[in-house]
Amino acid sequence: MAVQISDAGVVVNNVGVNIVPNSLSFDEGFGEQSVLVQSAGNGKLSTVYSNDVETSVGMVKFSLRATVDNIALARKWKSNGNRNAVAVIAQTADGSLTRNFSGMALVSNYEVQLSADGVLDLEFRGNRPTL
Amino acid sequence: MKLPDSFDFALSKAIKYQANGEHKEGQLLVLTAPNNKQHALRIKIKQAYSRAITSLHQSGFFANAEKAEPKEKESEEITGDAVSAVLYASEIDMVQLHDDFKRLICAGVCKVEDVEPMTAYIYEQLSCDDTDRLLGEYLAVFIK
Repeated sequence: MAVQISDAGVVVNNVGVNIVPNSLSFDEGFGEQSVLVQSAGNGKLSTVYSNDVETSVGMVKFSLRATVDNIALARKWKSNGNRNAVAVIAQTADGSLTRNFSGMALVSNYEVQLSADGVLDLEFRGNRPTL
Repeated sequence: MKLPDSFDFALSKAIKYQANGEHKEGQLLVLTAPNNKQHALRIKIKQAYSRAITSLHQSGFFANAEKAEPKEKESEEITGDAVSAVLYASEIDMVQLHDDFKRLICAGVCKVEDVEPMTAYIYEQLSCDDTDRLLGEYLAVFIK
């Protein structure tokens, strides 16, 4: 019986991060591709595969509880520009999953919600991940 | 005797770490002497080491070892492996000692490739043999 991955860990700049459960997701950074049509006239059609490399960006997003330590961490990551490295690591009975993202920057102007259930929604973008 | 400010420790197995936004592999640790920022951990580790030596003296461990294998030179340098072996032979709580040592190493006295401070994430990648040797060597150089 296969196991759904729902409890992966995140390491940012060598530090394991305590995230809000079920808030983690990542993008493989393969980008968007499309299939275009070209015509030789008189109904002779063929297709062209197009890879939009502009969209080949790795992404990791997760949420943090609004604690003093987490707010300080997010501030530090933001000020690092794209000099952050992020690893997503998961282990289940089926095996393990690892994605290493380099050159990551916190791109969004994240909000710090100071409330009982306040979180920081963070989104890193950078190079496509390696295994 | 003046203690060295730092020493290099070569790992037998490479570890992964992150630096300047990149994922890297390293095999060298640079260790510096503890200062008063880490005094509580240093005291706990030194106390455990002293207890280990005292208990082994009382049990006759050193006298028996000397009989079996007499020392050639008195000034023979103590290696990390030798310190580690002595600690394991004693009755101190090695699990606790390793926990304290991990906290000390992750508290600013160790850098991977002299660049990135040691963290729990990196420490957990160290092999058990390297960890034993590192503990012994750190004690031999800075704490004994």
